[in-house]
Amino acid sequence: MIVRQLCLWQSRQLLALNRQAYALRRFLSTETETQTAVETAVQTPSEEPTTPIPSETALESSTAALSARGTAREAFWKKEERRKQFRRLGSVVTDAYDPGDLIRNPPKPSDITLELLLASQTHLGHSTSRWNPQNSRYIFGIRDGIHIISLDVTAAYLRRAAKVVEEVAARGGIILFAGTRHGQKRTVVRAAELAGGYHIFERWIPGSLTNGEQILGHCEVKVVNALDEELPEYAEKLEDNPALKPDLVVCLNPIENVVLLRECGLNNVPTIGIIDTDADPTRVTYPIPANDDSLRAVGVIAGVLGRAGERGQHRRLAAAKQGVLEYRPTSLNLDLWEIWSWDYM
Amino acid sequence: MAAAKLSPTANLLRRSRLFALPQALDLPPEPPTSKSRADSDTATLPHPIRPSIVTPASSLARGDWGFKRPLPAKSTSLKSSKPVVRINAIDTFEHVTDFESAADHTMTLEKFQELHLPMSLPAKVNYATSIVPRHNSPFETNVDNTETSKPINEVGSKQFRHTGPWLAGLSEADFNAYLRRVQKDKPEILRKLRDRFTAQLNAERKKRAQDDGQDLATLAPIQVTDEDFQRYIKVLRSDPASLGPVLFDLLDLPSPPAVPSDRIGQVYYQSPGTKLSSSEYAVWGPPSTHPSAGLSYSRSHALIYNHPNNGPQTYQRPVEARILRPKGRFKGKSAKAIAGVGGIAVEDVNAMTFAEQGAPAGLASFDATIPGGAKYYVTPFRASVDSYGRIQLASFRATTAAKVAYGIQEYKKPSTGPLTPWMSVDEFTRDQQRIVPRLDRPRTSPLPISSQEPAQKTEDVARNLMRTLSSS
Repeated sequence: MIVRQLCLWQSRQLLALNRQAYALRRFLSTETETQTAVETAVQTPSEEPTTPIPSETALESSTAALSARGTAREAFWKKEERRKQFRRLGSVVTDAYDPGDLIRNPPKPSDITLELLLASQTHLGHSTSRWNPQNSRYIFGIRDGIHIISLDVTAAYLRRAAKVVEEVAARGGIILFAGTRHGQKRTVVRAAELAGGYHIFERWIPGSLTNGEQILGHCEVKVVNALDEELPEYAEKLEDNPALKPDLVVCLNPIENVVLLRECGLNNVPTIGIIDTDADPTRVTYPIPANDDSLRAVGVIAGVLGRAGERGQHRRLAAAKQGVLEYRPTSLNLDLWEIWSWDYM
Repeated sequence: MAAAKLSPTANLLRRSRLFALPQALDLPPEPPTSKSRADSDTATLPHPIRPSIVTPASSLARGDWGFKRPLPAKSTSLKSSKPVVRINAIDTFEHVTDFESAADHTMTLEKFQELHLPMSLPAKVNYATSIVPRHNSPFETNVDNTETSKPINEVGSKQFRHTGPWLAGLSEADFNAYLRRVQKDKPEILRKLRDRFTAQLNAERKKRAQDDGQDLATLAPIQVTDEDFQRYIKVLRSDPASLGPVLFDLLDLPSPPAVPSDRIGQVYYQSPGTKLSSSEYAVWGPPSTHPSAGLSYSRSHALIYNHPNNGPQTYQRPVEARILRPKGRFKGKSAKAIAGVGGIAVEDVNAMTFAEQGAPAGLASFDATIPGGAKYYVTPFRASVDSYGRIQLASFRATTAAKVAYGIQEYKKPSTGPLTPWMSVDEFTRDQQRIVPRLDRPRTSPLPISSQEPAQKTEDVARNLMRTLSSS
């Protein structure tokens, strides 16, 4: 009786005693022993090279590092192999737009379609209050307060400009790609790379054509043969020659490069320019009416022109290999001036 | 076809995504009042008026949104993880594309869809009677009709749109313009009226013949003469009570608001019973959108959440509502509290009495001490879109049962309890303490003095007990 009472009344006090609580479950799986064999992945070092190595501690550590690198490399290749194996699986999405393709694999002049131009926003002109009435023949209509440039006109003018670039490149002319807007750098460089030309993506230094002697006089010049191999023996003949002038200038933003276009006009250098609805189409020789603000539109146009230049260069080099030249070959004793004069004939 | 004659350019442009963007809607109408209104030009509109536009990630990284020029990353991709924009102008005189973030309406839609509510037809939710209006889906076949729908001629079918304007919402100029349009169509309307009259006469005669037991096959259709028709028009003109229904029917006008009770005894142009799908539309005008407004396409409310531990739940997960305005008197009027549920302002409903037991903190009056602002949990039960395109949400305060199942707890203010002597304000007033009390913080005593001693006592007792047990 007394004991029962004691339990009844004191058990609550017992609970309050500071002792380890009875845990109902295990916290670690290692506390029990299992019969199943667990295979733990253990990294085995790759086989030691069979060549005898002097047993020095420093060398040992270096071989350990080497073997670790070896396993890493092996794992990498294994992963690559697996990836190659699995890449074939699944569906293939074709005709998907990838913005990187404009740089990696720009469209050829034969790829110009109205759909491509529409998708790359070449038809979006400026606000109607900004228009230059000289562009009215390129304008299709007005929508949402902006002028819409006609897609077929853009396509036609772009094809014509591509032909111009191709023929200039096929005749070994110097092509200069100028696009000085923010974000156009990679496009301009890639187009120049394809066309074997030159690029400007920062700023046209005013006077580079009209005052080229002062601004570009110190720049390096080289003479190449028909296969684009340098001819160092002409080096001293080049000393007193004027600075080079491009044979074609492709300007991606004519609005900002009015000075460049004016100098080209003064020096009889033909120009190609993207003419938006607010630009003056008479500033350039071969206008391409299109949107010059969208990087995608500019990327398509510059890519097409770069591809055209690439084709021209291929044509030229192929002809040169067969001995067909666009100019009369010269020799060292001829005056260099004659070479220039041949160029302009 | 006209489309076949279009040039390839025109065809392409017509089908392009940019040209497929809908034109901007009109701004929501301002309430017809002469009172000065204090609202912001930059406030979120009650409903979107321009489409929201997204772009794939690869183009987003280049700022390409398919418009005239790339949009700057600073206000799109750097600002938000899921940038959505709306375009006000593709190009402006300043050579900029006028755009702004559309996250306001996009997020509201996302939050609304997380409530798992179907849309209902608008109904007056009267909280005082605790009778909740039933859920009526606007997608039911008998109400989801326009003037061109097929089931519109069936008995009891309702519609949400009429061809005619809502006369009560027209300004005088609009009404005059409508009158001119009707006058131009007078011959057509008269022809319809004549057809109607003929049909009515034929139906009456058929009924009479049926009642008299005559052979229906031998009945020849009645030919209405011009004199009969003119007489009919005269009768109609002299009796507004019968002309009213004919007019509303002929011109396909939505029914007007109810006639004020003081005019019931007088003669007026009576209207037929409303054909609109909700009686609220008769008061506020036919809806400006489809009654669902595209917010949700589910018809049914019968959706049950199956809790992994607790099984099927009666309630959906309660949602946290921010108290936008506590209840009280504003501008001389006693007002209900206003809470924000998923970006939608909702009148708090249960706050009917002023002294409420167990009300959420901050509901009765503004409380600055609640961290993050005052919030409480609600269970939304009915959503509809009113005539002006605003979302009307009704919600109840979440019950304890609803909250427990989801492990949700209401914010509890730390209880102040009786002031300990060292914290009492008297001390400070008597100038015995040098510390100034922070009255804007919740007062919690740093040391739980009283709770320490009993624990000590019980442990001592237990030790003594064990000692005595082991010794014996």
